[in-house]
Amino acid sequence: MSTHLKPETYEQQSRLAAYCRNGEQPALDGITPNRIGHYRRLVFNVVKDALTRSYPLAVNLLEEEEWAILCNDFFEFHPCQDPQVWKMPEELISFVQQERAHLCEKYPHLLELLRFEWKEVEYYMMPDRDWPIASKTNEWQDAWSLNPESEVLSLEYPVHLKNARQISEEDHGSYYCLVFRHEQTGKVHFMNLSPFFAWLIATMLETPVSPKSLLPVIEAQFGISDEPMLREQISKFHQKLVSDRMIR
Amino acid sequence: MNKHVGIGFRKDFGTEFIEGSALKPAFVEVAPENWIDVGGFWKKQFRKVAEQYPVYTHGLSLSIGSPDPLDWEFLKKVKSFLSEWDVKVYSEHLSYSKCDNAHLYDLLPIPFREDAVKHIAERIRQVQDFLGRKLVIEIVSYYTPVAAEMSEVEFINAILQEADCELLFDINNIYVNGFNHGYSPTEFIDQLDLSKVKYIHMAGHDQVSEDLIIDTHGQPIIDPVFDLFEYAISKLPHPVPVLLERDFNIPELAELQEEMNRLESICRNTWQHEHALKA
Repeated sequence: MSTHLKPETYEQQSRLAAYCRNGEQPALDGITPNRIGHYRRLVFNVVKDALTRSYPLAVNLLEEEEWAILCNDFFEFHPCQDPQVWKMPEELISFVQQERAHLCEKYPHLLELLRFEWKEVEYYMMPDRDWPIASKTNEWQDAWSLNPESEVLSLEYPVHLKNARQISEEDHGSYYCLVFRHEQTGKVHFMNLSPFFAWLIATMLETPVSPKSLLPVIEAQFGISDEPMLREQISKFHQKLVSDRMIR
Repeated sequence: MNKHVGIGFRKDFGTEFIEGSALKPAFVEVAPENWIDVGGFWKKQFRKVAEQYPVYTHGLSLSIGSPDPLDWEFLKKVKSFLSEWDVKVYSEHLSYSKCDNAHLYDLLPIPFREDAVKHIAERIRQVQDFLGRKLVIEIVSYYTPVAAEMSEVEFINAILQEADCELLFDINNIYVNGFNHGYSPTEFIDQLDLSKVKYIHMAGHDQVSEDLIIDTHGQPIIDPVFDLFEYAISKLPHPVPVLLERDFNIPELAELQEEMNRLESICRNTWQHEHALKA
């Protein structure tokens, strides 16, 4: 703290800030008591609105009261760190994971749903990334010019496929989803992937290599040795990615 | 095209503004926090705006009145943003929005005290040194004083003097504060150090009870605030840019343009008259 600010001034500022977070009537000097509540209301509304806008699917999954309590507890017990309010909701994920075990038990796919929803915000807003230099377009022999604003998500619940309220333990398994930002519209797209194509895209995003060069690995890991069939499937997949602007 | 009056650029009307011709501001204002680290669709939109209009900024999270240390990592990003977009003015609120290592994302009132003056003035000087430009601080609206030991106007003037910063003269906030705390806005203006005024904000508000106005930026400017604006700018030593803020309940853009036109008209009448007197 600055050497100028007296402890008693700091104390007044701290009490007002604490009141905005926990709603407990503060001992503040010289205030207009019936107006102080507006600060708590205004501050909390900003936080709750930001959370609600970022996680509409989680809002729909939780009971109304559960969501209200979660927002309240998050703001009261978690010191928000990001100066940019639109980034702040990401901090809810670790709060739920570390502090709200009962919600994670009641809704085993809640954490994954929050992460999934945050990916949409993150990809919609994130800084632009440079595309790799496009190579010749032989989808078998050349490395693909993949959209750098993309990522393969590995999921245990089909949060990208089903209404979160319909997901149960019976759905528990392995799912893969490609998330990418459309180069022209800026919209975020999600594409369900098979384990093989998830692996292929993840591998090629990590290192630009051609499908052909991966043949030995594909045979070892997936037991696929039918090269004509593989070329045909990869070609179809490539066309799909080109039409979706995941490949230039 | 307005000569003096700009508009707060909001995503809510961003595309309509860019693609249409209903709004013709002299400049646009944005909160850096809403645009730093942003790419994709909105960066493209922002680029279109910045290519067409001078960019002014009004920060939200500097928390200049906070007891917490300044956030230098954040300030580095702000500095980079100001440089990237050739920003003309960086303004911030004379309030605090972070305390005890927690952001609050809204503007809390600072105790009007001598130690707070020294604390804030030192921080403003540090920010100005780092950014290589004057900080323009805004008189904020507040709903209750907290632990005040001096008047609001004494507090503001002391900071302007000690920090050697500039003033964002928010006329609506002065009106709101006068109403909420029972003082005369014109007398308040008469006591302010107007030589420091760099920039003006104008906005609407919501009266929520008989004795309380909340500064929402969600309504048109009311006539008494237009009158106060006319009074205020007649006291200024020179013309300054004027911003129309509208953050919520956004009307047709033509309505915003009408408000801007009215402000522009007042500016032209007042400042042409001033120039004529000087000549």
